[in-house]
Amino acid sequence: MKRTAQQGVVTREQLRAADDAAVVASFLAGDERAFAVLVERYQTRLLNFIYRTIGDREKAEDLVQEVFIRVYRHLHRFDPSKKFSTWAYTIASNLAKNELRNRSRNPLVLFQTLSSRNEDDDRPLQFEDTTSRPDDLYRKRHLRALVEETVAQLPEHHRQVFVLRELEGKSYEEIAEITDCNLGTVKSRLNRARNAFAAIIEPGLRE
Amino acid sequence: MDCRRFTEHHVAYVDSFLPHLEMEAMHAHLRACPRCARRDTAVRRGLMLARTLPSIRTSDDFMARLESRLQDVRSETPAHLPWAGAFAGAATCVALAVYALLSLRGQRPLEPLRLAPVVASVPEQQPSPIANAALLASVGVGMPVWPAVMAVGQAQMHLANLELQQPSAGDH
Repeated sequence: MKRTAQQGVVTREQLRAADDAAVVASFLAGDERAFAVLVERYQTRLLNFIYRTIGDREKAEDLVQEVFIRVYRHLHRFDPSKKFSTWAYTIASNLAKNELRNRSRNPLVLFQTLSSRNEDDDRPLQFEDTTSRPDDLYRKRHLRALVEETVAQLPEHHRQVFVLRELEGKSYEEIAEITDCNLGTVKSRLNRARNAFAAIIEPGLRE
Repeated sequence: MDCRRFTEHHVAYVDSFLPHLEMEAMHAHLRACPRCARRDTAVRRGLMLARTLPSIRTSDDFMARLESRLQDVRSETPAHLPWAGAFAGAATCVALAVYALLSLRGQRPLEPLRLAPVVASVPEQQPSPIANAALLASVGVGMPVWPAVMAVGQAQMHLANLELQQPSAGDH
């Protein structure tokens, strides 16, 4: 039973409403439910970040699991003066980098990646407006595929910064911490990534 | 503002992080430079598309799989004490360090401290101001008193010098 100083039992709803620091503190105090709240809060964000970075959905999901296992094991080492989200993204970023490094050494993984991408194409799209006309639906799918391909074509360092900023909405400072770069490098990479993205996607938009 | 400066500040410009005056200068450059204006439009259009990319979700069995893996972790560490593993590890390290220290002490019995031998050398002999033969001669023939006074005053030093010159009996 977990209790606060002022009131009685902390409900799951209260945990859900609490900020990350409070949830982390609850977990460290022994409340296992707090960990589930962290998983609920970050599983989708981390999945998208890793997936956009490595381009393999199944592997991305495995890596998200690995992130949470590491968080569970090492949360006692987390510096509470920092943001939990930055720490979690840092773990995810390192795992994604390792995956890309391993993939470059092992061509078989590349093949697996292509296979899973094809499978992914067969899955129903999420957040689709099913009332749209078929040509609108086709156009949406085409645009989505185009954007994903364009992101995948960015060089690794630029892609990671681009995904963190444009898709995850992280601040420059957070990106610097997650990627272990200085602020100037982050801005420079972001500038190059944005220009490259625009240059790569533009011909596809004319089709 | 020139194109180079515009490019340098473009990231902050797109994110609206520039101070008001610099934002105005960037706007002004865009109106004057069609090349930078085209690039700015292309970047903004690309970002607009990227930001509308739909989010993907974890599969239905994600939580079940994670829970299964967490069970394995919990079996390694008491669930109610997620930091217990680290504590146990630290305690083990301290115990090992203490044991190692004690073992080292046990293997090496305390030995008497051996210092480097002290080497004593014979001090350089100061020449005696009085020659032995001259002194003896002066006594017998009644020389003036002052050499005799000097001889009495320095007799101790003179005798000590003689002792140092001769090897001691123990050396034989």
